[in-house]
Amino acid sequence: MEVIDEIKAKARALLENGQVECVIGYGLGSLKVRPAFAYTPAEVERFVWNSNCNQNLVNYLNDKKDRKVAIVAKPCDVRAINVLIHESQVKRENVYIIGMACPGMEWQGQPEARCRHCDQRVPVMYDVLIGQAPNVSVTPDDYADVAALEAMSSEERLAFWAREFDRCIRCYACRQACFGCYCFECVAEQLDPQWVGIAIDLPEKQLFHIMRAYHLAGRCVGCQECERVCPMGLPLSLLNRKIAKEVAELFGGYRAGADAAVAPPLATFRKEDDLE
Amino acid sequence: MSNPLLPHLATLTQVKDLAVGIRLFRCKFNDSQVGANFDYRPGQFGFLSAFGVGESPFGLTSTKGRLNSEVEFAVARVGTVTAALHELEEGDTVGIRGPYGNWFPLDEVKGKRIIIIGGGIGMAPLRPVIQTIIDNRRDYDELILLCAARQPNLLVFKEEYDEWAAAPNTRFHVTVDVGDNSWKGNVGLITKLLADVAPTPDNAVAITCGPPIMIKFVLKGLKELGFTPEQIVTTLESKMKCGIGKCGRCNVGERYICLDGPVFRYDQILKFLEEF
Amino acid sequence: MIQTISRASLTLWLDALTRDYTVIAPRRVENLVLYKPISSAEEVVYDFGRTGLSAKEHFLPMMQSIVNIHKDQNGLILEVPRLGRSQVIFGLRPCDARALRVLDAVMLSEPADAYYGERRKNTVTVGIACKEPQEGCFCTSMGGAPDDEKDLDILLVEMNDGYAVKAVTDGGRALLAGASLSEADAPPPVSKAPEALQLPTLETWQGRFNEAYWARLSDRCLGCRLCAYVCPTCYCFDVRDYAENSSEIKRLRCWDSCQASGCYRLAGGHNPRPTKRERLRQRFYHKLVYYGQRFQVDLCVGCGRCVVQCPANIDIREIIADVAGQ
Repeated sequence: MEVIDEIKAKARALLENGQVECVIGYGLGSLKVRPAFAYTPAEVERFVWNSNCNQNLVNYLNDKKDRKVAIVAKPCDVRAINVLIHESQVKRENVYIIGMACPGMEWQGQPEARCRHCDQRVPVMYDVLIGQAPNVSVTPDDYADVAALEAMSSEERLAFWAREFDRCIRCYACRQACFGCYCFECVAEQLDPQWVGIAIDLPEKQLFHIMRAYHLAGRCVGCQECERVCPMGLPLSLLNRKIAKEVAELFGGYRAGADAAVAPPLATFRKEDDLE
Repeated sequence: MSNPLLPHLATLTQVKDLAVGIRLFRCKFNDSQVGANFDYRPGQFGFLSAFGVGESPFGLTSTKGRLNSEVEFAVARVGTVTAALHELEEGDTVGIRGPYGNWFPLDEVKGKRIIIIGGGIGMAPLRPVIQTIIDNRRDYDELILLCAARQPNLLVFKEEYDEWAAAPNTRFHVTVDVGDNSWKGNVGLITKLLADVAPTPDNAVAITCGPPIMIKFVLKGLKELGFTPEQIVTTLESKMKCGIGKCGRCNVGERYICLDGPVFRYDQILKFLEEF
Repeated sequence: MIQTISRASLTLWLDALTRDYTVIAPRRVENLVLYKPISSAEEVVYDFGRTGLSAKEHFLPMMQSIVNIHKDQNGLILEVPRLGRSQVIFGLRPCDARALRVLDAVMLSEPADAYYGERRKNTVTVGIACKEPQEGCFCTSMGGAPDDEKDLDILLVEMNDGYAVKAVTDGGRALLAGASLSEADAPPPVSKAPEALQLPTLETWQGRFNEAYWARLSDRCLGCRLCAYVCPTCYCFDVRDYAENSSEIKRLRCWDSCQASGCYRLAGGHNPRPTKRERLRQRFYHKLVYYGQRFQVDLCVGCGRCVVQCPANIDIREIIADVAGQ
């Protein structure tokens, strides 16, 4: 059976036997692959599976709290589910994971860089696994982009980021697309007290992006949804990758969502921790 | 080109507590010519600025006739602008823009029995209606006043109750949702008071203002008493940033609450696609 | 006979204009092409299909101080910031020019918005016709056309060696005074237009208001502001004071979007459009129903930016077809 037929068969069965009320998967849109929500077995017919299923759909679980749903999830997406479970946003028993063995995704006609370096082709957790892990040679991530950033002087780095952040229009697509940005009221929009003004100006943009990156420290799974949705082409994942690298170095190779049993380091406090 | 978004400067000539968290601000325009030209009718509103924080819309709480060139606003402390206004003292400077919106149809309802139903801070825009009727008592038939608040210390304009109750051909009732040790009056929702007083719809018009949930149930109560939608006048509340139909917050269908409201007849509201 | 301008003359003319005007033109900003001020004609990009953002920001800036407030011991002084130089917007597409007519309806209706009005009065637009539709374009469905001149001061249409030039308004004619023009016999090539969609009737829209469609559509909506911010006609704004210090305050007006969760939430907590469903529905009804009822023109010009840029592929063309269809 083709992979897509397996997805459809599983989704139909879950809806038919009432195990879930909705299956979140990928469908064919007007211009691209887009999220598809199937509430009936018939609606499963619109599902697709191909190398353009980049989007991390886990974000939508935040809208379906306490509902029984199934979700089509790649290995990186499953790590995001793990983060949400750790943070008590999602209950494991409410989510049926249709885990996908991932061949790697493409973006704008090219294989995604993150996929070329991805050594995790099978999700760390699933209720059903669909597809075969591809036999591809993986080049380990050398973090060359982060190294280039680190090689800059602090003045150069500030100028680099100021130039990038200056293009931001504060549309918040990055935040809204992020599974980890589920706050009811974002600090960037809170009025009382107001931490970030409404100005669409460099200081506010800078504050927002740096704050968001810090809020994702040890939580970002590297799905790069933020960067793909940005209409202004900001290199947002560079910021997240820098922090992920730091977290890995500081906390014994920790990778967000990789292991359901390991508590996130930045959500853990032990008395003997070195506070430096 | 004249600039309707540029506020007029005014000085607070009186600041007094009306209820817990509700203050009455009396303002005198710094330019007396502006004050003389600032002509408004019951139901209209203005924007009051707390410079450094922002501006928000508030109903004009008096009649032009009673205050001459000064204006009054009753402000409940619910957000950042209102909190900043509550910090101000007599002699401080505020900004005023307006008057905006339509008004209660007090000319059209001459000769009729008027039932006024106000809840909480909703009494603020109704006060100039009451003042107009009292000041032109022979133009109107019987006046029935029903005032309400969640608790006694949230009732506004208490010191004017005697004047209102003593007006000729007037019935005056107050109720609170929850009483306290000193409260000797009615306890119960305004809908209960409305049912107890049971004004007949003959030659009558009901004018109501209050929180959305109260208005919803008052409309139901009036319907049960036999009032037709054409006999009910109410106000709609909305977020606003300009008051001049530009900011895009107060559109309900093709209507703008700031330009076409805030006063609507209930039969107009029933025609809206959207429940607002 | 038609008037033409060679590429070389165009460059000279544009360079001359930069001396007297702020000239805004499509130019490269990293990997994007945006309408931004240029200092030399060399910066102008001609082979752009559609810019990432519209030229809206030059009429309704992303952020502007509408009142500068000076506070000292003698009291308060309010001052309205002065406008800079007059501007020429070069390379505007006919759809983006039509967006100005659409925005005029709300912004210039009484009481008129002084800031927008001032910008409009001090702007001359030079358009370039589209040769062919881009992915997502549907201008002809919204009353426009790829070579529509009527909302421009000057229209250029690309020809073999330059552009056919048409001064549409007196302002356009005056601006062309310094340009070196030639004449040609043959008309420029005709633009290829996108196919027009069948628009639903008012009654159809009204009848579908309460359908489950809107909740289902909002399932995949992220609730971001991208659609509103790339849109040439979305005009909603937020206003808030910004105190630079205790004596200098700016009353800032900034872009805002109906999709923001707090857009309609009152200080007391009441929110008449509490979920993505109501907010998304408001977006499309405002654009395609209410605005037309009030101003006799729809709040959409079919530029296609939201179509191609929405991360969730919420496609206004599809919504039009869905509502019109079964």
